Amino acid sequence: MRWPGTMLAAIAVALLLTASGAVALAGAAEEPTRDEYVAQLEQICKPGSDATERAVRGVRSDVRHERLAVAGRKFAKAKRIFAGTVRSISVVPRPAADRSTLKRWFAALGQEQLYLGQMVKTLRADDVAGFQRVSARFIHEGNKANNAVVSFGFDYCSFKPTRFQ
Amino acid sequence: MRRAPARAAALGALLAAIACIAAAPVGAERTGGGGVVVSFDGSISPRSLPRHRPVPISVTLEGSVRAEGDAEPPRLRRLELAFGARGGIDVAGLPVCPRGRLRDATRRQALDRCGPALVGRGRLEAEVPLDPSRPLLASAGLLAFNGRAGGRPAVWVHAYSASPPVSFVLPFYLRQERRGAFGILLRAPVAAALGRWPRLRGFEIRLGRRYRAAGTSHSYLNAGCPLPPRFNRFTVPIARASYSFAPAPTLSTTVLRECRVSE
Repeated sequence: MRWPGTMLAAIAVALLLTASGAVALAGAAEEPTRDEYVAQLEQICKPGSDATERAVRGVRSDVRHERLAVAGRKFAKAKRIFAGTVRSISVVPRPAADRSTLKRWFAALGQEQLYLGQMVKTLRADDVAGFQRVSARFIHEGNKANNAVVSFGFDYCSFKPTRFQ
Repeated sequence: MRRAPARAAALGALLAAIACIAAAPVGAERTGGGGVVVSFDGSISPRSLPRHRPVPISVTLEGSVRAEGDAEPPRLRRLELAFGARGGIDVAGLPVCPRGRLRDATRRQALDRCGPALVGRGRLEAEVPLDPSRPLLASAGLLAFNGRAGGRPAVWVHAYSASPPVSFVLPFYLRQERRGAFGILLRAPVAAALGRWPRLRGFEIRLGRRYRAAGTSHSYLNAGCPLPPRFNRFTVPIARASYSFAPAPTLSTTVLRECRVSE
């Protein structure tokens, strides 16, 4: 078993849904196929992944040495990126056949966003017990989000802790 | 947390409720692509471990492979399972079972021949598509034995089903990792070991064994929960599975579970 920094890196992966206002959505009025939809979302999620990695760099060491306020600032930055990405991908037209599935996915992403905000609050308040609790729920919600769209084959838009191990 | 006493009871109840939800099993992690969906789940027993020293543990790993839709899933070529910490495996003084002794053995014969090297048990589901339109589903009992290949530890997983009659050995070659999140990597060339039939669809295996050698107690697997001082529970990666299909895709999934400090 690893110390919690590894999990923090895992959390960081979930934040890879990155903001990118550059993707043109105006031309997407027609209903896309699932493949087209996935490709479009991956394009939105991909570019900011480096920014998120930069945002949480060193957070493992911060928590290890109990610099929780510093870790909180890093997660706050990552949260802003995450929120921006969710906003961007939520306006992309969805394939009709997948609407109910995607509704569940977006609900889980919204919940993750809330937990992320709570994680920032607990870190800022030096509340270790709260951070432990909320981060567990954050991971749980990440798995739930992944399971909802497992057959879509998302890469950059999915929760993948392996990338940071 | 510092709270006014009047609110403590209500808050305590709320926190207990939240803790219960957070500790609830989250189910297997799944991932998909290329027309196939795989799942992986894992757990460690005991659930609470010391912060500063490793203690004997057992690890339960389970996974499944299914097609997306009605199509037959691609053939599983290789399975990799990673778990545990560096130095988390101890085979000192543990008897070694030569792989050849398990060939074509029934479960009873396998235990008779290699019982002292037993390190795990489980079950496996395999499809035997003799008639592709009506494939046979075989449920086989698994026995895992301590082995050795090329001077390194290995795990021979013996699968046996009486009906339909199936007996094969799935070799897991063990590598102790020096970097990365996990210390132990088990790699099995599934397609090469199973031949044309059968096709792996699901497995569950519990690894762990306590034994005595040279007058001292040993455990095949050992782990601790080395959290920083103020942390007493945290969600951490405990195992990873990579399923490689022929010709594609390769799907990896990591299981994150709570690590609790016992002392």
